[in-house]
Amino acid sequence: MEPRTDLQRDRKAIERWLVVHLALLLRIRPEDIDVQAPFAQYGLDSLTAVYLVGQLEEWLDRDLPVGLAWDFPNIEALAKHLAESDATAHS
Amino acid sequence: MPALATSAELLEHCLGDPLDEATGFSFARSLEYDEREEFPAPLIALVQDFKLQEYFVPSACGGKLESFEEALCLMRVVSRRDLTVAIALGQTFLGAMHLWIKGSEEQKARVSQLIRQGKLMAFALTERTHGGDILAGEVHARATDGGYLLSGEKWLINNANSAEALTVFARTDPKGGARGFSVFLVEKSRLRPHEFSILPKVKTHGIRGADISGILFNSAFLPVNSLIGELGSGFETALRTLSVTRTLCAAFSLGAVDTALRATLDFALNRRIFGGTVFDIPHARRLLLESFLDLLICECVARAATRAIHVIPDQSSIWSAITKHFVPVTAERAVQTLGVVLGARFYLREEHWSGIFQKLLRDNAVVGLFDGSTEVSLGMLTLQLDRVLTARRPTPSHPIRSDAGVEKLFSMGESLPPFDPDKLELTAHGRNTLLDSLPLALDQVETGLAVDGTAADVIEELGRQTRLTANELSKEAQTLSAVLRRDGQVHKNAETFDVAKRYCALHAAVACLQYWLTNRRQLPVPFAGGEWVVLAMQRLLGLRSLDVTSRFANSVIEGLLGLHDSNALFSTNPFKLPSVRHAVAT
Repeated sequence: MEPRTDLQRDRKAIERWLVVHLALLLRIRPEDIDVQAPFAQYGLDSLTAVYLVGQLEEWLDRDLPVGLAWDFPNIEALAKHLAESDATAHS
Repeated sequence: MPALATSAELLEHCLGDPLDEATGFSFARSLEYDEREEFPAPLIALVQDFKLQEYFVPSACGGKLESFEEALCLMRVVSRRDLTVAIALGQTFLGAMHLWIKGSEEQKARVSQLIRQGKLMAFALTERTHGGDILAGEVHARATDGGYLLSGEKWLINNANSAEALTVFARTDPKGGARGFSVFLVEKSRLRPHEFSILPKVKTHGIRGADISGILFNSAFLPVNSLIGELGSGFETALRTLSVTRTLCAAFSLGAVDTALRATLDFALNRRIFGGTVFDIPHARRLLLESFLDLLICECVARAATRAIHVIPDQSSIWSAITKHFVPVTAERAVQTLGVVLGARFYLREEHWSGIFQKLLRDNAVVGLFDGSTEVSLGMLTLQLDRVLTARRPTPSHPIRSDAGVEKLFSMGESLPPFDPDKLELTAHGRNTLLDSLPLALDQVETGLAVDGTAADVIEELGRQTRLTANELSKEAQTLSAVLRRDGQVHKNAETFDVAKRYCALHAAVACLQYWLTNRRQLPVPFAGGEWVVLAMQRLLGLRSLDVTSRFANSVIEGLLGLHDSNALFSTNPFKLPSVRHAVAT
């Protein structure tokens, strides 16, 4: 199994998940979400961010620190971090 | 006698009978301070003469705090007498708790010293224009040479004037957000006079003598070692602290209801009316019984929650939110119900028991308001509700635990693991060990009870109630799923608040059941029989109104009267209180 391909696949899947769920939460269209734009730009408040991380935990079936959405500025950075930390956990 | 009664029982006997006007800490004296709206410093000092404050400091830092359950029982002793005093002491505990969770060794040593000397502390969190929305805070600390400059006004701060030191929540990044705040340890003695001023006392409906004021900081210099934890960790530290102290607030409610029940029962048993006593009237008896059940239920919830801080600290966010909603709301309702039985006397500021009832009624109303109101607590719960409502199916990453966790949560004799603040989390990751244990509890009710002498009608009723509880949880889960499908989220939805309230009631039902299942062989008669659990669960499930003529009701009433006659705490784990002269109703 090519770790690099896995990483890219995981990262893309996570990005897609985040776009869809952020759109659902904030009632905006997925196509209007830029994965590099700061979460704050879409009006994601601190508590809704906690809720989002909770949903992410369910999907990934692993515990995540609640501050994740506070510590990564945008979808792209968050997805990259998650994919990398997951890869490390399984190596 | 159960080991846990020891320190609380000792404090009870040191403080003496609050009905005895010769005692230093009597209801009569408390009412004097309340009438004058005066800070009851001598009463606080009296409690501190008996070194209660040793229990605000962890044993690792030179104090006696080892068990939050013990701390709950101790604070109940003070709360039974006077909530103004109890809350002044509780606020000190709240200010200090930030240091036990995130303080440096130097800071912890300093706070330990202050508290053990009998000094008070405060937690300066709220501001005039932002109460519950703490991330809107404007009080800020700007970095400067060697430290920070703190500016702005904190308002409605308990103990602001009387505290020697305060934990101050301040914005340290102008952009704010969850990483934009920090907490600081501020000692007034180390500030210059022009750097701060105390705001006037705010008059309140209850705890009238309390020092509720505020503090204005004017570029107050804080040395760098004032910062508690890392810069930007203030929001997390405050929430983790509150996940402990919100649970302990239950002590205020438990004490208030105990006194309300005692005062009302004393009246009801002695007051003659319509050819009998008030107690002879079935409706009055029913109201007394309902209030007693509410107290027993709150005690189960609160004690389990304090033990949970030790056993399952990772779930503290859920347990503290449940406790901080359920206990104050239930306690307020119980006190109001008792006021109905007490009749005209609930309204008097003197006469029956020096007028303590109206004071505690007003005082008790603050418990549901501060440190995260009952509504804020429901809001915190809604963030996690859809996850904790879903039955946990075992997955490779989360195998279903055995019920050993539940045993530790409820077993009275079982010692608690040491508190590990690093394990406190802001989310329970979808887990609630108590509700996860429901299938095992049902199993025990349906098969285990038959062999040990439990009455058949108790077994049958408990089985029915437990199955109903499980069904209710599923129903609520389905309701939330529908909301989620419709709205994309659940936590900003009014319907979810109703589900959250229901969730608290179902949690309370399982708490009563598990407490009894675990401890029934140690409980005094008649609580060992479990009739009180049947009625408690019926009450929480809200399916039928209480039949005061039933065998179950008579059994619990017998228990209530037994505790009253032997002058014991209204608890399924009682101990004798300092002797009372039975007041003859006027």
